[in-house]
Amino acid sequence: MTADELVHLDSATAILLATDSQHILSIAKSAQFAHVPVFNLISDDDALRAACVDNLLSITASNQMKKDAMAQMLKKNPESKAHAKGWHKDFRKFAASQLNIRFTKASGVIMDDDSWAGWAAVKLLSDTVARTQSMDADVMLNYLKNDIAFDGQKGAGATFRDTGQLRQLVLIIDNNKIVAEAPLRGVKGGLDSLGLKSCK
Amino acid sequence: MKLKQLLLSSLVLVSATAWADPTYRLFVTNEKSNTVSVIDSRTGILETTLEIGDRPRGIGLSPDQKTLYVALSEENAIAMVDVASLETIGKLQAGEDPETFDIHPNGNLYLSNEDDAKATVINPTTGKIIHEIKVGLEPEGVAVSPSGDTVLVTSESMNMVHIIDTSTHKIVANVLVAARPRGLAFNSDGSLAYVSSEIGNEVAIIDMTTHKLIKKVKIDLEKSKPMALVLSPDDKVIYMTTGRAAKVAVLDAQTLEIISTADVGKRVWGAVMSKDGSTLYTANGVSHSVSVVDTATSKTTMEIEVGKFPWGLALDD
Repeated sequence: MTADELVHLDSATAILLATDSQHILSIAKSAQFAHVPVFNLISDDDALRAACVDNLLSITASNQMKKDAMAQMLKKNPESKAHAKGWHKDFRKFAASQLNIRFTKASGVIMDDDSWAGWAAVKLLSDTVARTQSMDADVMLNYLKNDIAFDGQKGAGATFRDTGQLRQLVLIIDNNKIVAEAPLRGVKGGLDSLGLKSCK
Repeated sequence: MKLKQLLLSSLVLVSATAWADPTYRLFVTNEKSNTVSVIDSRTGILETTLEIGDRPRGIGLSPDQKTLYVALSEENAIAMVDVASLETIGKLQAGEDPETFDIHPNGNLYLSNEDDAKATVINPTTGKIIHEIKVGLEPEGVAVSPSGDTVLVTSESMNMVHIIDTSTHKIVANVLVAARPRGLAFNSDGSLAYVSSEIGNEVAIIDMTTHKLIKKVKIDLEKSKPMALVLSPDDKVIYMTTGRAAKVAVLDAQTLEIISTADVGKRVWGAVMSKDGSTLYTANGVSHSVSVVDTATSKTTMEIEVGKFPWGLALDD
């Protein structure tokens, strides 16, 4: 289904979008889907977080989160030529290696940032249905924003910021190898040292 | 003639009993050394180290305690070792990536295949896989009830405890628990089951009659990641390993409140208790050691060096 065909839906429990930020914003802000959890899977556009739309949940790390992660890296190692990513095929901690193996076995391709975000959104939804025993969009949105402690195989109990961004670590990659995890050790603020902290 | 036969049969009986005497050997799988450490539990002295195979993790004894089973995760097999002679008897095909298993009173092995989202049932006498049961993603803990009627399997990714009827090998109920359930234990009559959640940092009690969660408690211990659970023989106390917290937490089995803690090695995973309940042994992954805990005082009395990344333990006592 294309983003433009969504308007023909009678109702929706959740919407997962892999499209550009304009489309994402217009769908999330539409009166039709005002109470439906709308997942932004792949756009790292900071504007989607700064917009502070109540029902918009951004799974992938924002551009600013990756920039902040690199700034932390460069502070420790000014020579670094690395870049930041949300996921990597060699990530092993938090049972990430099991997820990488399982994903490649099922799909025949390696898991990257986009495929992790797609997987995470589906798992967020299935966890929510299992816990709330409800398919009501309102109940699900409330649970996702306030109660979930999500095991996305990127560390303990992930939660959403009021910007709708999923809190998560960012991987620093050099020469296709993981060289560090942001927030780097010793950085104040933990996961909230990455990206826009809050709408307030 | 009759007397001679009688004497002979009683002689055989005596020697058979002698054969079944415990060796008091403590066996430890060393995940990254591909070995099993054999320790004399009465002295704490390392007796020998067995080259066992690739990535040994789960470990356990047959009901008659004559055979030691070791899951070799990278070989997709279970190694069988004679407890008395320490000779490897053979290897059982175990499906992909066997991790943890438990042994049914009838001798069959129930194991979790982490990468394949299933539990496998093996008859070690015939070497045949007799059943495969589809379970949730990343199955981890396995526990057979004392009577053998039920087996529990945790799914780390789906936050569930699957309750499986061993007569049909069908899942009869799924119980939702906190994130990343790992360890399982039954009380002695099988009426209650205990489950630990690594990420949720919780311990819960399941009523095995109703299949409902009847109690859950957050663990108030810094850096705690609940792992293995061991119940005292009188069912009053639970010993829980806590991973990075480097402690064994001693919980009241009824209230799940922490009564005391014992300092053990770093990244503590597996645990086993002596039959008399006096001693708990833990496998400390990052310290490459086994801690010996006196349960009367909750104090570590000895730390024994083993191989790299000790994972689990079995005790022939």
